[in-house]
Amino acid sequence: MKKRVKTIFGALSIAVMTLSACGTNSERQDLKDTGVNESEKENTTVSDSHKPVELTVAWVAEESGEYAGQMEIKEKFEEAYPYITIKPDTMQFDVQTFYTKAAAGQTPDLYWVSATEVQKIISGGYAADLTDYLSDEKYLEQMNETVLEQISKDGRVYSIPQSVYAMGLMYNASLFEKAGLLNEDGTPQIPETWEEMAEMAVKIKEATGKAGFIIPTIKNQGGWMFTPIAWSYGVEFMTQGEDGKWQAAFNTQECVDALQFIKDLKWKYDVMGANTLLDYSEAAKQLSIAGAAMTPMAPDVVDKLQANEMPLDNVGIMAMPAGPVKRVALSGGRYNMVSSGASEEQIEAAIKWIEFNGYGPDLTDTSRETIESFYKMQNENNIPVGIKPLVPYKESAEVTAFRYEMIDKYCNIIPEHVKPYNDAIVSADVKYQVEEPVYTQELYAILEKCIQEVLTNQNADCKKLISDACEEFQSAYLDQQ
Amino acid sequence: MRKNKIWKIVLGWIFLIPALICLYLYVWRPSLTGIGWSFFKMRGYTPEEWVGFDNYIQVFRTPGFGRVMLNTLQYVFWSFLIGFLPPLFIAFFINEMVHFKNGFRILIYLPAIMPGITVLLLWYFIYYPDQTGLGNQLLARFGIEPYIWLNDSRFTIIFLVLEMTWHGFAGTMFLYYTAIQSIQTELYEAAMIDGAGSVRRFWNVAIPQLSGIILLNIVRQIIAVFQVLQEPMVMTGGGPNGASMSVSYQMYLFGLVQGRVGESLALGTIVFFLLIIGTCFYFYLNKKVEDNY
Amino acid sequence: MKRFSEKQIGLLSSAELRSARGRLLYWFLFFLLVLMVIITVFPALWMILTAFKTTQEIYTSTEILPENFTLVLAVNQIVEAWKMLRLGRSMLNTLGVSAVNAVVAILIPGMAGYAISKRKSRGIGVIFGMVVWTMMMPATVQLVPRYISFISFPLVVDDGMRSVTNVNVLNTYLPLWLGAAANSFNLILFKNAFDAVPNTLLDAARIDGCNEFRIFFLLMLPLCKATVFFVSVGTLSVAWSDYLNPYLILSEADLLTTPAKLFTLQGLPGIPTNVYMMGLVFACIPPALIYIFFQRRMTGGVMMGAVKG
Repeated sequence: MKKRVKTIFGALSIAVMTLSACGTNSERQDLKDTGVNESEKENTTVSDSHKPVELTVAWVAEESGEYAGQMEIKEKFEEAYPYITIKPDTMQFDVQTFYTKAAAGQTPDLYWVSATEVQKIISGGYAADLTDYLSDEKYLEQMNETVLEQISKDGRVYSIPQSVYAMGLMYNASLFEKAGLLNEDGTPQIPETWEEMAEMAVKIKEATGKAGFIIPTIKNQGGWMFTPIAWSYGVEFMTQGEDGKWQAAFNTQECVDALQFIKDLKWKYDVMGANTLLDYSEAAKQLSIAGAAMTPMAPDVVDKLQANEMPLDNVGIMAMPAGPVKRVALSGGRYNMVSSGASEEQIEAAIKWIEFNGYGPDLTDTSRETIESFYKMQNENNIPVGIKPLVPYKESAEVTAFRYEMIDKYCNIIPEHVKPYNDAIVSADVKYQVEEPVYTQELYAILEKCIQEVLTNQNADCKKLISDACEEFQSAYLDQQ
Repeated sequence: MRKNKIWKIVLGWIFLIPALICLYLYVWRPSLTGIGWSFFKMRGYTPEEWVGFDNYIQVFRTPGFGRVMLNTLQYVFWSFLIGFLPPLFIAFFINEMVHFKNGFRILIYLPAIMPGITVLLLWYFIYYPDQTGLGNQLLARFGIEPYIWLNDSRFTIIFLVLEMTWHGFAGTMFLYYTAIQSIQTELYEAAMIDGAGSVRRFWNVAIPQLSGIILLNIVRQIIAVFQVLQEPMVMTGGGPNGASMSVSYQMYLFGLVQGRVGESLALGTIVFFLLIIGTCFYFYLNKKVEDNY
Repeated sequence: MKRFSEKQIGLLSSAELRSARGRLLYWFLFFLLVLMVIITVFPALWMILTAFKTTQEIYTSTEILPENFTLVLAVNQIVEAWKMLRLGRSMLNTLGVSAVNAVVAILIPGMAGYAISKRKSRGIGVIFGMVVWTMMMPATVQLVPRYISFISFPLVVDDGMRSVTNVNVLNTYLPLWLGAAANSFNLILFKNAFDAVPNTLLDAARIDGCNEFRIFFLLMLPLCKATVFFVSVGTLSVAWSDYLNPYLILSEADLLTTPAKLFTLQGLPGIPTNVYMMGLVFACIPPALIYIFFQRRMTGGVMMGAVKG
């Protein structure tokens, strides 16, 4: 009898637990709507209603040098729009914490992420659909196609770009100088092709003993960096068939050549550093301490150089060299996103905030102020200022011009070091491309293994590596479509 | 008398229930949710439709999955080879000391109280492959060329296990130490009278007394090392070429980097059941040991 | 050597230590321990010295000591770093959280361990099994569902009831305390420790009229001082080391614990790397002090001849 009771009790408790677990699922949908920081939830039909809106915005930590400046902007904004209250949320983007918070609807209403996360967030259902809030003439028609591609899915737009950069080859001017690769006027010698870059790297290694060229190799950043190099060799990673499904298409001689180039950099030219396990923070660090001369980098991480106290005079960037087929760079940058749990009023408020900060297509008086104070603040904090971003909007000549003006005004690095890069931006010499469309992270992971293999094994067979990788990618991922 | 008995039972439950509630809310409920979700197609962390074992099949088909499991077993293996005996021996040695006993206890415990990030950063510096790494600086004093440490895929796991051992051995040592202290001295005396020397006393007196805690630590170590995540994540990114990729890191990649939540939860459930099989083994051994008394 | 003659018997007895062979063995063990101390202390010391270097030096220098290492400069650096990182508030928070955690970690697993240890029955066996299996579930699986549950805690009921029974416990310390309580390893440790206490002792106490609570607090815990110490130090260490949970749960910067705060400061513009490393060193100090302070008092205390025969 006792035993019976215990068994039933045990079974019941398990049942209760399981049911409660299932309960959690359906509950959560409602939880997302309720969100924590919302004050109003109803749909308003009156267009000029100014019901009080509270907007949680991702913010820098108090200890950061940028905090004061941002608080000033907040004050001005709240003066201009008294019904909107901005609530700062000092978050640091970290993959583990961000997605956990997003799953629970706990991210700030408005936040920014780097370009690589945008599609992931959209696919996860965590981004609000902004299409209806962005007027066609001002936003959607003005946006650069590549940028638009990066922020849309199935014809809907989910983000507003904050700053868009073409990836370039960051270099340390002091090493260039020692190797005699700096011209009289301070501009660097530009490698037009990858081969030229390899030769320059060799010169640097001989003259200074430091690594000439490094690229990240882990945490999917290696694969990420490898894709534009492969593109410049003419590689197409996947092609879309008529049925809409993608096929892996990189088992080609071009891809093998690209991989061979990386391998040569290590074993033939011997210009890479001793450490083959680096992410881009580590690469930035090596650049800062003059441990390496060149590395592909997206300029929006210049603050990493500052954290490593790189002397500003040594900061330099060049456009990515051309491969045998084309000259292309990845576009990266920071993208504003609104949480999918935000209400209509919050989305509108968020867009106003974005425009107030000068990231919209129009140049207003307030955005003049904010743009200027942004670069001033960066200058004061010793963050390198001087590298020019791409501007996402085609016809916004005013904003672009003003932005470049401010950058020149507050430039705290040696302008000649970045002149060629900036010129290329303005003249649009380098094409830039957006990441691969599907299974991007998985592709990077697979490519990375090839890179790590060629960098650690002198006898690695590039052909086999690429062919295996292509097959793996096809069978493990693309076949699952 | 009847009332007393009922009261005793109730009291027993009063002692037990807070822990059960905490465990339920903090571990069991989330775990069951996670297992449940592993059978769904997930969009972000929202379940969409029931797909049965699809996620599990996908996990097995992931390129490099076999390697990941093998690596994790290697982690466990090396952690036992390198990290299982030292805490035990050190605990014994400290127990034998009459000089500086306190000092030893404090200083040797130091790594255990350093926060995890600090230890990881420290060993990252030690293992740095060029001449600025602390390890290479040491080698330089002996006239040896800088070594690539973690970049050498044959030994990456071993080096990571060294770091884990350095960090964790003190806690285990302390457990053994207190257990050793509670061994009744009469047992040693009796053994001595029987003519047993130090080594004999070690084997026949001390170890049997500690068998319970030793077994517990075996199980705990297996579980903990199986879940190694920080070391490959921070120090090698799973490289070189997948040489240090662990199961937990793969779960992390699935769930948070690649957005493939279903697979992440499926892999977690698989690990869960593997470890349960391990514990049943522990129970079996424990019973055997207890039966010997 | 007076100390030798007073030594309690263990693997080496005072008798054996009179012989040369015994002495040799002893000093050999001593030597091994010194080696261990070097292995543990040297890297930690190096870490501290490195925090005093400039950022560029940290990555490039091959010397162990920083250049320009004077006392004045060092003190200056410490003060600068402290001001820049503003860890004071977070340290207070961490002290508070860790203290509560330690108490909770002794109370809840302790009481449960006592119940499981002293009431042998089939049901208890099943429960104990479930507790053990708790340890097996990978944390990654639990992380997100658990986090989501904290929004509407603790029950999962329909909308109408929600405000009555449920509360949003994010941005409070409750989830952290819960984490300390829901530690099955500590539970098992307590159970094992209590298993070693002979029932005769308990019966004697009960005959003397003690109720169970008094037995638990005044008899069991003091007898198992070592376990209590181990659990509290372990819990404290975790509180001073865990950055992920506090970071996820607490959204106000002022509530953060020190490790979470350091995590937010990593790589921020305006916080150079050497200052950050100094912060890491700061974070090591409180747990070290707590351990040193308590360790003397808490070892030993296991029943020595309380019940003869």
